[in-house]
This record gives sequence, structure tokens and C-alpha cells, in this order.
Amino acid sequence: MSSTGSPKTSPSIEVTAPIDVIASEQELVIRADLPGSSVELIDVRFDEGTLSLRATIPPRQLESTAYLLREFAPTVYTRSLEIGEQFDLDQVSADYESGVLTLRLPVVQAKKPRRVPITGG
Amino acid sequence: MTRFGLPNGLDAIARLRDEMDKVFANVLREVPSLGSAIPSILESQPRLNMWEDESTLFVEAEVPGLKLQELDVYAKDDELTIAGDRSAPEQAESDFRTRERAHTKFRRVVRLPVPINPELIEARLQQGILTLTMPKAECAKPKKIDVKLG
Repeated sequence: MSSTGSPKTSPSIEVTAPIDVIASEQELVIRADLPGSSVELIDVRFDEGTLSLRATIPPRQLESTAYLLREFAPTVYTRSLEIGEQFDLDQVSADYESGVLTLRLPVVQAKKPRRVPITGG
Repeated sequence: MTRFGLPNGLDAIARLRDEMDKVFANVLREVPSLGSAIPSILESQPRLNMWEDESTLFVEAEVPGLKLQELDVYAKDDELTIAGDRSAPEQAESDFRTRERAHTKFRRVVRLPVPINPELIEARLQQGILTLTMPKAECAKPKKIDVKLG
């Protein structure tokens, strides 16, 4: 590419990561678009019921690159959500693939809704 | 919620629904953030960057969640088209508690500043960023002119 070598650090803008949250009886799935990040640059943590997400999108080109068109730049994505107590935070899984972070929060076993058997006469 | 008096069976179903509602009630509450509004990834068109050197045009596009085979790239002289499908997987609409990511087909057409050689385009997809390396057409490359003494 035209801009070889290690990109210089440039100031990153901080934006809110767009997410989907999908609920089922078994789990809560949170997906966040974080294109251009990497596993090492994503930090997910739970603290007192709050899930905090922070992902850095580093510069890919030299700071001196003369862009003909520039619609995105180095970014820090953040997001914080309060998570209910019904999820087992010790069993949360996180996977980053194709620029999308997927978090799976299983429902605590004892608190899963149970189907009530119906008998008829 | 009290649901006395419902017909046999319906009462149990109503209670089951109540249980489900309780499980997911207040599951998520947004914590105020200092960050700016949600970026334009939400929009159906992917965001692009473009730059060049003497012989090549480079374009990178944000396409999170897509595989190379889910993307179509067309190039013709000085026009580039990037198309893809970010339709949601089979998921009931009611299962979404929050839905901010793009779930649509997109088609972005960009006029290139110089003609390129479509046969020689290289595409690379890494962590949701599509990078296209497009050699310029011969007529678009700078030519060195020998200056002779008169």
C-alpha cells in the first residue's frame, strides 16, 4: 500500500457502539459492530451490575496519508449497560469475528422461567 | 399481576408470560455515556476511505459481520460498486430488545478520480474492513517526459 510502516498514533474520536440485544429463555445475546478492532483491543467488564465495553479501532494508515475520501477514522467505541441479576456473569462468553463482538449471557439456571404443565380432564 | 378467573389453561399461560416478562424486565438499562451519538454504521451504506499513490487507488469500507462471499465488488473504468446483504439471521422481531445495527442490503456506487484496471483489483477482508487495491489504468499513471536540450 502507499502508506507502509507503522501508522502513527492520532487522536481517536469516542463514539457509542451500535448494538443488537436479543433475548431468549436461555440467554441474552449482545452483538456490537466494532469493525477494524482486534481481540487485544477490546475490553469487556462487569462491575456492580454494569457491563462496560470499550474497543479501540487503531489507525491503519500513516497520519500523513492524503485521503481523497475519508468517512471514518481511528475510533474508540464505548457502551455501558446495566445487566439484571438473572444472568450468570461467570458463564459469559465473548467472541470477536468479522468485526462483530458477540456476548452471550446465560440466564441463571434457577431463575429460568419454567413451563407449567397443563393437565386437562 | 393477578389473573384470577381466566379459563382453565389460559391462566397458566398468562402466568408463564408474566414470568418471562419478569425475567427480562429491566434486563437492560442504558448507562449514560460521554460518547457521541451512534455512528453511521447504522446507515445502510458502508463508510469508505479512499487514497492513492502514483500507480494505485486504495479503498477501504466498513462491512462488519460480512464474509467475502457475501460481498459483491464491481468496477468499470472510473466507477466502483460495493454491494452486500446484512439481512438479519432468522430471528423473531419480538426477540430484539435493542436493534441498532444495520440489517439491510446495501449498494454503494463511487465515482473514482481516475480510471482503474478492473482485471487487477485485489480485495482483502479483515475484521469487518474490506480493503480494495486497484491499479490505475495505464492512461491514468503519471508519465515521465524526457526533456532534451534544444
